[in-house]
Amino acid sequence: MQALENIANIRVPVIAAIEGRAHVHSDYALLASVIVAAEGATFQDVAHFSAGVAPGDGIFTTWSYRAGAGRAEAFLLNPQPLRARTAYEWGVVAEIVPNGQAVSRARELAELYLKAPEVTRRNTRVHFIQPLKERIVREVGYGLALEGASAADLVKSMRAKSEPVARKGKSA
Amino acid sequence: MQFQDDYLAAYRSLKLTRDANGVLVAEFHSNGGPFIMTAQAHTEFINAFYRIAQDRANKIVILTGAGGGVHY
Repeated sequence: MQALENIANIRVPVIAAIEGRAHVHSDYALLASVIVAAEGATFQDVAHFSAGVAPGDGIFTTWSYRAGAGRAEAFLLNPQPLRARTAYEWGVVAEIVPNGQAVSRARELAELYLKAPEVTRRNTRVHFIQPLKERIVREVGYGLALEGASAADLVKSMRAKSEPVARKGKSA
Repeated sequence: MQFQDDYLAAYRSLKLTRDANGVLVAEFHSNGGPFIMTAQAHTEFINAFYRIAQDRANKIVILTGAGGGVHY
């Protein structure tokens, strides 16, 4: 959560360039004002639901903010990768570029943004990120409590499974 | 007040390079290849993004992943 807040507190335009697999912490990328993705890029959330943990650390808040809650929920429950093209249709990705060109396109955009006066650049970022920042502060503490409890339960059930049969027999 | 840019080379999992125009590219990586998330990396990011946000020499920030990936 602190990492998310610190990215949200970057007061200059942030661009994310996704070249391949954004399969962990794509919430970081969704804090960018603009996401450029290569044609072959994919998004997935391998660290939460499919790994047995509730997606409470900001991944739901950021996806739900950018794509809408329905799409975010389906994405986070789906163990399959999401194509860049679909993320573009959802409005999460701003531009699709040929493979290998995400960073160079991000640099082009940076050059374009640098033409604006400094305070304009800074204040535009601050204004754009404000509603998402509010949601992070409001939602992610609770989400992390839910995620933590689910992770603790997962560990408990894994330990129970790995207990030797003899010990289980004794206690029964 | 001038902030030091000693943080630019301080992280194992985040390669920071800034050009003359102040465009900072923050590249997630593990040993130069696709980034694999670890607890240490997470701690680094908290510090790195704080320092990046504080440093007025950064005019634009580009986030990206080395070798085309951020995963486990």
